[in-house]
Amino acid sequence: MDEPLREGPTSMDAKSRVLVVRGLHAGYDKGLVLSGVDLAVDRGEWLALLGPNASGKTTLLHCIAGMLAPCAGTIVICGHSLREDAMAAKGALGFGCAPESLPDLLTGRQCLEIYAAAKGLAAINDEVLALAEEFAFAPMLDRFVGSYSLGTKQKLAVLLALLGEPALVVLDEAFNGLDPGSALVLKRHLRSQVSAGRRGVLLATHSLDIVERYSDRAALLLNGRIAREWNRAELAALRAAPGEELEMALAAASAGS
Amino acid sequence: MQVVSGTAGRLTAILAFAALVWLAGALDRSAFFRFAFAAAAGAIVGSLAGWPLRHAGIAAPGFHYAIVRRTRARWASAPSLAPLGSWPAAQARIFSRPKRTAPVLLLAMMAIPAGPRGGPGQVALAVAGVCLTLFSVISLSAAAVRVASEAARWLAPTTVGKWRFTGALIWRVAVTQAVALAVLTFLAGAIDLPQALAVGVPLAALYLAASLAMAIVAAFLACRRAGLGVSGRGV
Repeated sequence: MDEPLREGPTSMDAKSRVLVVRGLHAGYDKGLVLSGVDLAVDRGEWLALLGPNASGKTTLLHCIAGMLAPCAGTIVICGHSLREDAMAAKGALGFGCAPESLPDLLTGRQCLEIYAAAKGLAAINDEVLALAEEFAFAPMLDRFVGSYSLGTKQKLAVLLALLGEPALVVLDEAFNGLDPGSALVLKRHLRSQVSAGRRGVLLATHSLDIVERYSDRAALLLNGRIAREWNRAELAALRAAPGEELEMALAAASAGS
Repeated sequence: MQVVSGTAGRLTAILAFAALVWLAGALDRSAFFRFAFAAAAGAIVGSLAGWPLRHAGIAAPGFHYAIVRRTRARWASAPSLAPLGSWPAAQARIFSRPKRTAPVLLLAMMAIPAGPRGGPGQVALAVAGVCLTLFSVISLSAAAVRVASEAARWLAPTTVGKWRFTGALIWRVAVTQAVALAVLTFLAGAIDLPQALAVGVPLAALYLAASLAMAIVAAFLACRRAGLGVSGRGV
């Protein structure tokens, strides 16, 4: 049985905003993908970002990670504008990249050391080392990333995202390819960190069980905008209802848009 | 079947080229047959030696050439960007794998003015060594350029600055190239010291400077595209 959803922190300090996205427009050469996205994540909150394939979830996450320059709008991470003070904003960010973006020709240990140095850390934090143990990642440390399975690459991407205990963790479908045991470890770990008010999590996912059982809020990205949001009370109501309530609600919201 | 047909095809092409040289009168009959025998023997022995690599089960082409030379079963005392330099080095080893170097080497060996009795073995070996070294030096330059954009994109969500990134990425490329070019110049100096100093040293320095400049420009452009160490992007 998975760990049940716990109430988040209530102190004002822990409730501070770790991410604010306002009026975000972004796209590629072929045209706009995002057209006016508004989003916010608090410390001590897990927001699940839902949406059909090619709805712009990854584009939004790339904008937040500073990998894609938006056409319009603002992104503020822990009070720092990503445009005006990118270094301070990125200092509070942990981004779990897609597995295919990891460097095939480096070993897992090299990746962790380089990423830690790039974040300006004096050492790899205990949280990451402990999670690596729980993931049984140690035997893979000195092998090339290119030889990893999808699940092992996902583990490495998550470990990189958690380096330096960032206030905001952004993950792009991080549970894809993870074995059930490792997925449970990660869900519980993120939930405990969020519940303790140490960070906010933004997770793009298609896994409705994570939304129902672990997230505090959910947002549906459709046609380049946030088409529907579910708050904590609404998710609790969906959890209490039998059957495929969230799935039905998602389908209805998609059809309505 | 694929291996056998590929090797046979290449061997046929080589022999056809040598036959043309023979017909043109640059090679006598016995030299042609000696060459044909050596090429066929080399193809057979090489195919047998390389056979296990076909079944290595490694996905990326040439991946098995990007070996980890030294594994370290513990964490560094302090995280460092230095291992980033291993990335272009590994990529260069893949670029300069035997499949890529063999055609270049073959052309260079055939270009040796051997005469009807065949060239001295030392000259052939020296040419082969120079070719391989130059190929690896050029591969390092190409690898640095190629890896720059992938590495910048990977590190874009971090706070590393473009100078630190560039330095970490190219230091190993620069050191390896400098050592390789110095060795080449030294070997050339053993044959003709004044000529090596007059021509080899300036050429090596020029190549090293051009290679470094190219790598630095590639790294800076990659940083700019990926938003690494940059503020003020977007509106």
